[in-house]
Amino acid sequence: MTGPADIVIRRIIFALDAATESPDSLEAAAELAERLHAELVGLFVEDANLLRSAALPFVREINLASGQWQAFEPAAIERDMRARAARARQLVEAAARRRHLGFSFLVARGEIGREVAAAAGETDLIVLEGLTEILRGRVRMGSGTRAVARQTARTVMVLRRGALDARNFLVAYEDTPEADRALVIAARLAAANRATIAVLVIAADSPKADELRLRATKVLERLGVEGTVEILGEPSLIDLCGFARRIQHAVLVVGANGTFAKGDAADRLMDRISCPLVLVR
Amino acid sequence: MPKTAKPSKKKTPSAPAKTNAKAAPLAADILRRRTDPAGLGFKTTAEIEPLNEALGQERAMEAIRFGIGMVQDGYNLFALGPDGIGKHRMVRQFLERQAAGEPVPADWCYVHNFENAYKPRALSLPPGKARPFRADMDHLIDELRAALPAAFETEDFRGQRQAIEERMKQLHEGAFNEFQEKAKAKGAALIRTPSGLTLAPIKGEEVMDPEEFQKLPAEEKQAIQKNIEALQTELQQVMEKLPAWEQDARKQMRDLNRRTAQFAISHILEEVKRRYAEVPEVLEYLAAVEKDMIDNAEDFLKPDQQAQPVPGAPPVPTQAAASPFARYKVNVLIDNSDREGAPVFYEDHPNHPNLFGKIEYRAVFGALITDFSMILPGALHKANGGYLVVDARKVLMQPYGWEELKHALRSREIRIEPLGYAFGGAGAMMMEPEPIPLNIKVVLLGDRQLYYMLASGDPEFGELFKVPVDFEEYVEREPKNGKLYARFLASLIDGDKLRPFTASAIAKVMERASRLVEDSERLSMELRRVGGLLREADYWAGQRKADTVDAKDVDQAIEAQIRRSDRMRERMEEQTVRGIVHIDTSGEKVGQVNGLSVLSLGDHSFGKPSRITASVGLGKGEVVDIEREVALGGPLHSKGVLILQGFLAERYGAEQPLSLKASLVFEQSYGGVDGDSASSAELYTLLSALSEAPIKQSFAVTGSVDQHGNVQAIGGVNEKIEGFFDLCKARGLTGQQGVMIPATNVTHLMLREDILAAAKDGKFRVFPIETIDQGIEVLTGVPAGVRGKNGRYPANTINGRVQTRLDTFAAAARRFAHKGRAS
Repeated sequence: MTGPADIVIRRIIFALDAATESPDSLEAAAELAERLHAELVGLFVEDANLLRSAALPFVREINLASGQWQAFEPAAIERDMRARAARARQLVEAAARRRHLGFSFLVARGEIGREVAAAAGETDLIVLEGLTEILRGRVRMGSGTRAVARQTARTVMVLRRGALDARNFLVAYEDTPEADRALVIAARLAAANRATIAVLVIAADSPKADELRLRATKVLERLGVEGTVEILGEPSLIDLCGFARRIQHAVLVVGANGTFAKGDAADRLMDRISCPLVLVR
Repeated sequence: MPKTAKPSKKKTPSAPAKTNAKAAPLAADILRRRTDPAGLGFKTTAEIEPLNEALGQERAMEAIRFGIGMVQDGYNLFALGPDGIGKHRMVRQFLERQAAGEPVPADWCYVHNFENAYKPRALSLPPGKARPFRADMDHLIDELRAALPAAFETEDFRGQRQAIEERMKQLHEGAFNEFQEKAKAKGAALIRTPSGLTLAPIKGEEVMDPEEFQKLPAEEKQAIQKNIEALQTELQQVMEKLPAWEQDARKQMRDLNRRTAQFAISHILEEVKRRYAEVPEVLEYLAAVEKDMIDNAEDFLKPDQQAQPVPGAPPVPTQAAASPFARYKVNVLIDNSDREGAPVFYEDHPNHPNLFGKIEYRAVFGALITDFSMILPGALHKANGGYLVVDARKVLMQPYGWEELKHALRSREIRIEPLGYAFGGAGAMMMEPEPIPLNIKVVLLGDRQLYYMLASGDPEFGELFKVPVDFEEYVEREPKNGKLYARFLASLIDGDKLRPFTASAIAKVMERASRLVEDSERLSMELRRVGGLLREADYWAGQRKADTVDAKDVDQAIEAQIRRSDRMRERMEEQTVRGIVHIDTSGEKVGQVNGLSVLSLGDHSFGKPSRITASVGLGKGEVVDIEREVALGGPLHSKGVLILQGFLAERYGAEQPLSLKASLVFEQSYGGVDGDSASSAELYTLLSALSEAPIKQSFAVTGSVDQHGNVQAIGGVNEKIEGFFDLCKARGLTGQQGVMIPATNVTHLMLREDILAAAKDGKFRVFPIETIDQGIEVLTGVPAGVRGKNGRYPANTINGRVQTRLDTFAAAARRFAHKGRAS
């Protein structure tokens, strides 16, 4: 069994690509690093697919602001990526210096999921901005975020756009191997953010629910963390998201192999959830 | 004891003067009219009822009654009279009595104008309703603060909102998923770029390598390109659908929010509407509130959210922003809940904002912002429906105070505008609160000069202030008025919470009141000075730990008042006693007489003797006023000297031209001289110089003279007598000293007790004089002489000697003329 002291987060890897512009999320990541006494790593991924697309002679891009097609030149996208990387470096450096954090900045070229997965180690927490405005008005999770969430073997925190104001950590607690780890990470993050913790027991039947409740209570007791344990039964993904939405300043913590994050479910969860999400691995 | 006489009742004569009977000094009891304390009918003022009405101001009160009664435009009032006579007090008392029986005017509020935030709405409510209305709106806001978010938290609302979002999401996802599937099926992928989306051919999971693409056969490359171009067209079509979907979703969301808000708001507002059902303006406002709340319901859902900015106003930072509910608050401008009757409001500092109200501003990061809640009322608002009293001079001295006041009265409405508007200097867009109808009587207070100046100089004044309220400065000292005056004094004593005054103290105050108006037959209504005397007498009574104020306290108060202001007089007298300023008070001199003048320093006046001399010689019949020659003489003094020429011509120039040149001067006078009160003295010294009859220097003279030799009344008679008396007293009273005054001034005598005592002991005399002949006899001891049938005066008289001297001058002049012609 793991305890809070056993889970050490040494680095916060803030990952971004050319399609994301996330000063608020970077600030949130830096603040998290400060609270966890971790190093801040900025990882800018130059999307290889994007570069290849631009090199194809007939490929154009449609501008989201104007709705008009326009040329998509490799030189232009290279320039754009360099400028964005430089800007991201400045932001990471400034955020780290303000907080007296150790920091580094990496630029990788390739597929974002793979590059982030390659860069992250066991004691790292990957932080990304989860909301990408794909189309005017509506929001859905960007493909980069999905790729990272899907491909990395590390814990990923998906932020919503804007400052992180985490006051209530909700842990979806299931009978999965990483359930306790999720609970411990939630406790660790809650302690760092001086937030409350609520365990939401997910179980198909009452005996199982009781068993999980007992297990969660014991984990909390062992951690010396005060928290509530509530049995949700078998909520749908919509129910779970609705529950999280009703709690102000919530952060939902789920195990990556649980009902709501396994396989394609992770994509659906990321699309629906309106609060920050931690996928624990 | 010298022989004394009662004053002549004869009025100022206009006919040629005749030599009257010899002048005799006045009896001591004539020198001051006393008030008999026993005649007042009380021991102390505690026994009498204070007079709560204006004494002797019937004309003024009649005018006020008329002005108040006239409901037509322009019948505002101007209360005119000297400062300190209690115009303000009397007007206020009268108006307050009148206003008490009049209806209480409406309350006024300013509220947000939802159509135009720059023009806040003015709401009129029945008296006493404004504060409850404000409380009701505050309560409404509190209710809504809880009810609105609750309404938007219900499962029903969430469900409906989610359904809209779901529909939207489904549309999006459906379209894009379908497109993406189609693209995938055709070997392409939709990829996010920094500024949009692109479509690229894929191989496996990745975009096709460009080099690999180049190696493909031309037909295959062309097919891929066509495929991508076809997909681009389709993507364009998908994208074109988005705005309509989004618009539709937003409209559905807005409608849902409106329905939810309306449900939450309506039943809460209904209660307020019921309460103000009889005030249509409020109902109209509440309808606007309801509409605005429904339209902007989303503003109220997040407590930390920035307030909706006033359109056009500078952006307000979150920390300084008011709550989004702030625009539903009520600014109570006028609250008449505690009022009984119509208001009577006096504005002591009638500058523009104090009169017309003002708009305050709050500085936020260098920008000045304001709204309806920062509108403050002015005096016109406070007095609306009643009476406003202001000092005319103060209004006139304030920039644009007068012009704006007239504008308000003309337009019958109160506009609150920044002062910059008045002179067209405000370029920036500013708030313009809705004007409030004005129904008011304005009473201006001012002196007569100001009234006449406005009446002649400002054409609008007569239109807007049609009612002059002219206050008397005094009342007649009749027996019935004496008792009323005592009650009037009792009201002042009562008002100032002074000790009771004994009857003898009141008698002293009344005597002083006569002295203040320089008339023994009148009593001053100058509240400032009479009231001051009462308060100071009370102080002195307090110093001796007395329960009542007695005559000696009044005397002490008067003496102390004089003492405090008397330094200059003492220094001047000292200069004379030391001989630096030459004034004789004994002996006889030809061509020299003591004249008397009055100096006023603030409230304090005193008499000052002056040595007037005359010299005569051969000339062309002119009397030279040396003061005028050196520009130290005023026009009235010059007039007096010219009258002397007329006198000489009439009396002595009937048969031959006056061949003299005379010079008159105020010796050792280094300031200006004006007034004609020294003209009799100048004539005496001229007659002395011509007749070579010496004048007794133990006398001082005052009085003006006409061309016929009649002596006429002057001002400041008491001060003048006292001025000469003080000098004589300082040198020692001889019994020969005295003052000659016009007989018509006898009724003005209210002299000091020490002069009365000296007169009683025969040590000082006051002679009432009617004609120059009477006066010259007193001064020289030589008969004036009456013209004989032959036109000549007896040789041993003053007139005879003057005539002879003038004959000599005429003969000399003829000789000179003859010589001149001969040469």
